[in-house]
Formats: sequence, structure tokens, C-alpha cells
Amino acid sequence: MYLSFLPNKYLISLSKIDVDFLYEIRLRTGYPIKVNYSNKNYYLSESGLTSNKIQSLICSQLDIDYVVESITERSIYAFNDRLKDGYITTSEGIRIGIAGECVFNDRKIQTIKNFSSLNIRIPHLIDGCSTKIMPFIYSRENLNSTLIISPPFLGKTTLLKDIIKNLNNLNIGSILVIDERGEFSAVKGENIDNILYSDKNYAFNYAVRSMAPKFVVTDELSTSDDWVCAKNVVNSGVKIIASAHSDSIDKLCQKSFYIKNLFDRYVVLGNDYFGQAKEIYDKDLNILCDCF
Amino acid sequence: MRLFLGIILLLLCVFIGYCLSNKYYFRRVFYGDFLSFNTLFAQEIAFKQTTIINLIKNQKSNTDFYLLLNSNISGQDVKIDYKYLTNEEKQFVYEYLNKLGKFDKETQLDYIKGVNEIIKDKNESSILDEKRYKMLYLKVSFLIGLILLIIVL
Repeated sequence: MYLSFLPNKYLISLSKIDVDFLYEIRLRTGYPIKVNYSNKNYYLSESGLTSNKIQSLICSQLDIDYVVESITERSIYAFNDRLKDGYITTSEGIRIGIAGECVFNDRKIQTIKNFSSLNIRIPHLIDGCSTKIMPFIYSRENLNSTLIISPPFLGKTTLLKDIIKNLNNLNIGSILVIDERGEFSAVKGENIDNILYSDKNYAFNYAVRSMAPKFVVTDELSTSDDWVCAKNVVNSGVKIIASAHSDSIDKLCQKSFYIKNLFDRYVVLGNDYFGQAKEIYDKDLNILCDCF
Repeated sequence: MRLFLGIILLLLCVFIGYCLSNKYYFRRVFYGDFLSFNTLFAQEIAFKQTTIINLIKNQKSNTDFYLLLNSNISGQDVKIDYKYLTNEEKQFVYEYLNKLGKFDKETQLDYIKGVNEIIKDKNESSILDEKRYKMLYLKVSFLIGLILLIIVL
């Protein structure tokens, strides 16, 4: 099971529910275990899920330590670079956010110790969730640079995964996936090159040159450096498909790092359905499709 | 008949001597494995950052030290009941196993390099002890056996 890094008592509880609808597990030392199941919040109990806090399983420090030891293969040193960023991603692409005591040395973070909270985000492949938007991304042998916009937890990464899968099946060129957090590690294919755990600056500047991709796919353009790197990629003739955190297209345009005319298409995700587009805009921010 | 009994006694004494001297062999093997693992671990952390699980997987050794490592990695309670180690040495090994993989690269490397000299010293003394005492045990047991043979005859 891909959640085998969890303590046995949790696995027994989870075996009583359909994990396909499990999106998130939150562990906090000394508190009930919260889960997001089918976009609703519950507590994890011995019999599965419950809304009653009293029946919930309580997370202990030993449980948190067990999870951290399992995901780091009892080798903190091998995962410390990712740990310093506050998360570790398993080989199945499950991202585990970690909170604890930060240890600083010369004003630089050295490690995190005494872990107190974990946020386990379980990725999902929703087959065909990008079908509706694919004609706007790729039509008449022309690929449009596309930015997917939404607040966290609405399925940007899920949608990107399905787009990568579709582009791979179309067999129209090499796809370079710049995967800073290892969330795309489960997405593989004959046209897909995956660069894992590299920061965007390195990957955009060097990997694009060395791998000569036709498309670059990456998650979360969130700093001005990311946007400048993306601009350089687009200027070199490579198309880019990326995502960004924002409530709406208007709020994105107000952000200081926003670069006008960088993308040909903007896809805004809706709140109602995970990984589903709500609106699609063109380069000049004219609405092309109101998907609902 | 007496000759036969005497030879049996002689062989028995040599066998007992061999068994008693084996602790020096096991001790030497234990510290040899301990030292080679510690050296390899330091190299792997410094360059490839291989996880402990993968490092042990590649060793394929069933000696006492690796059995301890494996039980520690698999999350079992580690019980060190090897008679060839003193209580102080058992405590040292226990602490070493408990500190494996618990730190960031720099801290882990500092610890490993710090204990390397201790393990090296133990390894050298175990080699010397084996050379010195193993033969002594065999010779003494052979002599006792020989005396018994003469008495029986």
C-alpha cells in the first residue's frame, strides 16, 4: 500500500474506507487525527471515519517519529535538503509537509528537529480531467503556453499530471517536467523527462539546454525569479505549461512578479470540482470558454 | 582401549579450547565489520547520501554486527547479548545504533568521524587479542589433553 509509512493502527482504520477519496491526513502531536475525505473534514477513528472528536484516534509523538523515520528510510541526512524546505515527497508522489523546531546556523536553516505536525497530501490521478481544456492548449499542431490558476487544494497538480499524460500520448515532442517537490514522480512516459528536486532556476537554465524539450511543465510559479526563468524559456521557443496560486486572473495580474503576455492561455480552476477548469482566457485575458 | 580413551580426551580438550578461544575470533569479526561499516557510511553520507537501508542491502553479510544493524533498521528492539563484548562496549554499540540516521549530514558526519578512532582502536586490539590468546588457548588445551592422555596410559 502506498501509505505503508503510516503506523499500523492508522492503516487498519484506513483499510475501512475507500482511499481513492482520501485527499489529506493531518497529524498533530497530542491531537485527534484529521482527514480530508472527498473534500469534507473528518476524524480518523478505529472504525474508519467519524465526525465525533471523542471517538478519534489521537496522534502521539511516537506516531509522528515513526512516519518521519519511515519516509526518510531512517536516514534524515539523505532527506535534509528537502526537510529544510518543510516537506518530503515519497516515491509515489505523496507530499508530506513537516513542522517542528527549526535549527539555524549562521542565519541559515540547518535542519528541523522535534517534529510536531505532519500534513500528508495524497495525490490523485483523475483520468480525463484535462480533456475539456486540451483543445485550448493544443490545436492544429500548435501548442499554447498555458498557466493554470487556483488557490491551493483545487487540483492544479492533478490537472497538470493529466495534461502531461495527454501530451505524452499525442507523441508530439519531448516534455521536460521540472518537478521541484517530486510530486510528478509517478507520471512517466516515452516522451517525458523528469528532473526531480531541482530548483526552478537551475532546471530552467541548464536542463532546458541539455534536454532540448519541446514543452516544459512545472508546478507553482511563485516568485519573480520563477517568472523571469519562465520568460527566458518561452523566448527560446519552448512552450511552457505551469501553475500559479491565485484566487482569480485579476488578482494574478496585480502581483508584482506577473509578466504580461507570457502565456497564451490562462485556465482558472473552479471550487466545485477538483481539477476542473472554470474559465479559460487568451493571451489578452479575453474569456475563451466559461466551462460551467 | 586406554589409548583410544586418551585420544578422545585429548581431542575433547582441544575442542573445548577451540570453543573458548572462538570469542576472540567473533570479537575480531564484529569490530572488523563495525569499522568497515563506519568507514563506508562516512563515505556514502559525504558523497552519495545513500540511505542506511540501501547501504545495508548491498552488504549481504550475516555476521553479528550486520544482524544487529538489520534488527535496528527494521524497528525491532535491539538486544545485544554477545558475550564477547563487555557491558561498556554493548552500551557504546547501542548508542551508535540509536544515533544512525537521526541527524543532518554535517552532524551525522561529525559523530561518525568522532567514534571512528574508538572503533579503530577496538578493532586493532581485537586483532592482537585473537593472535595472542587464540593460539594460547589451543596450546594450553592441547597440553592438558596430553597430560590426561599420559595419565590414562
